[in-house]
Amino acid sequence: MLAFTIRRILVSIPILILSTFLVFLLVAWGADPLSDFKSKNPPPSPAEVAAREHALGLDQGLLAQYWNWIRNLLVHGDFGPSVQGAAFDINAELGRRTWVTFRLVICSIIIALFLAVVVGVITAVKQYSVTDYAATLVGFFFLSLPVFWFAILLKIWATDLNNSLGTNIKTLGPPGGQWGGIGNWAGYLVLPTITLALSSYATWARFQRASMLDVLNSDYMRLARAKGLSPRRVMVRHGLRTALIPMTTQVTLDVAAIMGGTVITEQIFQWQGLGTMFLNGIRTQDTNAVLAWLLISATLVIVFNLVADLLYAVLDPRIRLS
Amino acid sequence: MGVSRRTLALQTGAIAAAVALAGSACSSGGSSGKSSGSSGSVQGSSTAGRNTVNSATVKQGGKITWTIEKTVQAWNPLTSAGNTFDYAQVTNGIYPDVYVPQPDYSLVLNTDLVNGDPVVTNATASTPQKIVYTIQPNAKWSDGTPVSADDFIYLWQAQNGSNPNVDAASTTGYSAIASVVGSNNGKTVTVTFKQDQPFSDWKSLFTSLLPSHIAKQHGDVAASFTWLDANPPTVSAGPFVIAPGGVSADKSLIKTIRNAQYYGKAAALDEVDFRAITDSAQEPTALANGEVDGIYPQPQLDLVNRVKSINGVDYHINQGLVWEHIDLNLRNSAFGGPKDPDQTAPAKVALRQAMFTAFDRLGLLNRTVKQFDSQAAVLNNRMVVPGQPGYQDNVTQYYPPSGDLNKAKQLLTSAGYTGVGTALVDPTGKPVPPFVMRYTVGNAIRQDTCNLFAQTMKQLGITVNVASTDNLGKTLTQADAQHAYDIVVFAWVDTPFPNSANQPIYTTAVQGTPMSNYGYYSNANVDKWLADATVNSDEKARENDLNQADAQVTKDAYTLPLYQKPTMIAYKNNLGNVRDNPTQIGPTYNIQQWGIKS
Repeated sequence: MLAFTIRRILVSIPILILSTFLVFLLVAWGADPLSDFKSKNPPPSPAEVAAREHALGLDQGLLAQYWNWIRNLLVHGDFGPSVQGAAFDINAELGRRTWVTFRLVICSIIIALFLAVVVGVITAVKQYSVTDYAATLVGFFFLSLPVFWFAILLKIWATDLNNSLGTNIKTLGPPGGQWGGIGNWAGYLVLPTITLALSSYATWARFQRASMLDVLNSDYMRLARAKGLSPRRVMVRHGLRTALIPMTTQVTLDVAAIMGGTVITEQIFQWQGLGTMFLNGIRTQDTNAVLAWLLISATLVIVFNLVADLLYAVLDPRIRLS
Repeated sequence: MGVSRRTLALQTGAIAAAVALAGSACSSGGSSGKSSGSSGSVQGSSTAGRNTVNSATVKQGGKITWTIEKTVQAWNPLTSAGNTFDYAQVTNGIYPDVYVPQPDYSLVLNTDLVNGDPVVTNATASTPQKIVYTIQPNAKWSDGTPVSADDFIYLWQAQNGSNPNVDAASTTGYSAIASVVGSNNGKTVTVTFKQDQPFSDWKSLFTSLLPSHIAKQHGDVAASFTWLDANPPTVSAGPFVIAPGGVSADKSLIKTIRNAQYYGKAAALDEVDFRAITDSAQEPTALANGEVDGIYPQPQLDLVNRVKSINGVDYHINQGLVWEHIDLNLRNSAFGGPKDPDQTAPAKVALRQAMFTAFDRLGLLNRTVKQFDSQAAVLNNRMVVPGQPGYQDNVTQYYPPSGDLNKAKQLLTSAGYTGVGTALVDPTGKPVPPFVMRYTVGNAIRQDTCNLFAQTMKQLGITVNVASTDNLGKTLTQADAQHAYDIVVFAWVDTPFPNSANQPIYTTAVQGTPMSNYGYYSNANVDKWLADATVNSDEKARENDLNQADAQVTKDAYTLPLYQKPTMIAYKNNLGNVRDNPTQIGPTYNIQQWGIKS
């Protein structure tokens, strides 16, 4: 297992570097970080432009720029300067924003997972029942909902609720990621969590249902029932436990995707996380900020893929990674 | 404040609509109203009346949260990054200006800071222009340090353009200054311009006064200018100061509190917080939910309707200083050519004139911005907007607002073009090539503008292919004749200082260095008039210069002004003295007067 893990990590490093190189080229070719500066009116003098280019390292060739970036990152842990403003420190922002996004994602995953497992199991056990059809309908409804539309509806409903019942549901994220107090904590989390959770729930509930159906129809389940075990014990100890194995790996794999896919949710609810950092980086043609976001996203994908593999091996004794 | 003199509007998002100005030549209107939960009716307000909108007696104390649309990533309003409208909303109450632009575009002396009008000595053949400011004796920073000539000197040193390592947003005006000298214990400031460079827009100088005594603690001018950009203001010479620990880690919430050391009339509110909402579509909900007390978004139809539905909120829509226009690239051989004189060929002038004559600008407005602003109107001047001194209609006589297709066809036929209305052929027998017209990707109204323009051109026999650009700046700043556009629609942002701002846009440019004259327009008279406007000490003469230049640009059919984009403000109706200021300073220009109505 240890050898497998080390091998996977070592293989991941060149993949990461290659991905950063490709994205660096794409961003560098497609964007000029000094575009806004150059198009001021009156325009800056050539000397001023040259000074900015030098400060950002843009006066060097693309390969040299990339080499400097990767060297600074590996040697000094520095993601480089930003064009978004002197107060924008990419390193500091990454750390803080990753935590902001991670909290949001974890909360939504917990809710989505809980709902998905419960609904998945029930609909599998009661296959082709009214409950199954209703849950399927609701699941597909959530799956097909445009996130931006649903999120805005949620905000409007929450505002009406606040005004009529005096609740304290927030439509904006916590400034600085600080939500102070349990009341505020819930108020900030409820809307974006629901938004993120429902789309994941819909997918996972279908997955759990299919997984559970596979298990329910297996021979060992018939054997368990034939042995006279109680239906509850058969379902929970033998059925659910086994059916959760593929679900676990699926959720683990999805964590990275959800982390990278919070752009819309963060934008609508104004959470200053990784998603908004990516958007702002694109808007301002901030190469270093976009690269930093990519590196975090790519790392998360690789790490969670590794975790999924390891978890699968741990949970399913039939798998041997050695 | 000190936000950009006249900057290119590079809005790349789904910035929506825009509006225009008021109908009459000397006043622009606007829309205002109360949301459905309040009594009141929608009414227009003239430019002159803007300064007193929502005037009220307010009580002392209270706290409000105002919306900005960016997290604050730069704190020095005079750097290229810090020179951002939303950042300035925060620093307006902290770094004072000598002259404060008012909602009606006039300039009012900041008498809290300066004692009496500056004494101006106009330039003569042998003596340079000179301005003497007298700082109020009691003017001081919040740490007790007097506001002095050193602060003025620091601004000049940082923005005079002599050091390319200083990240100054603009050097306009400051580069013409020969010296800034303090006397009378630092309370008198004497500004002397270079002998041959008087500066008519001198009232634009010395905005966002920075604390030189703090700057001195952080290296030379370049280093300290950057330090002031990277760090929230530690002191204030305005009515508000950043609260201790008042900047959230993500800079999405900035808390400012009343400056107890302020030497002028104290602010009414105890605290004004600034909350960043980076997606304007989310602002009305935040306002309805009580998370913010006021918003200042770019109006769009959906957004305006949403605001109208919020209880207890007043809103106003005005025509602002941002205006949309269509530009032709005169390096295109059909419009001009590689050399400046190419663009004066009669047939090429006729083609350009015909294209602008045919276009129905009013129709464009009816289909777009008039959907939510009935006051929207066609703009007919490039140098100033209605309500600014000297505005006059220099466009209609050539290019009627509703367009004139027959007149356009006649222009082409008279110039020797054939195939008018089918496939246009120039007088030499060469087919007029298809043109590429670009708009900023995601900007629906600009896309509509292009499509309507293309449809009209088709009726003249001209093919216009509409294409987007995701980098307007790059598209415009063509380095050589291999231009990236033939026709383009974008916006300029005017300021109350049109004399210096217009010169780089229409003055003959050197190939490869277009300044802001991206289409390489060239006319010697225009060069002369605009140059004179920057130095002439007589206001009427300057206005005359600008109008002559504008009329000539109209005749030469280089750009076609379309309409002013609207500004929109919405706020809780218990707030007094909160009002729109459509100049670059924005609504917080009078933040010390804001308060809860008594």
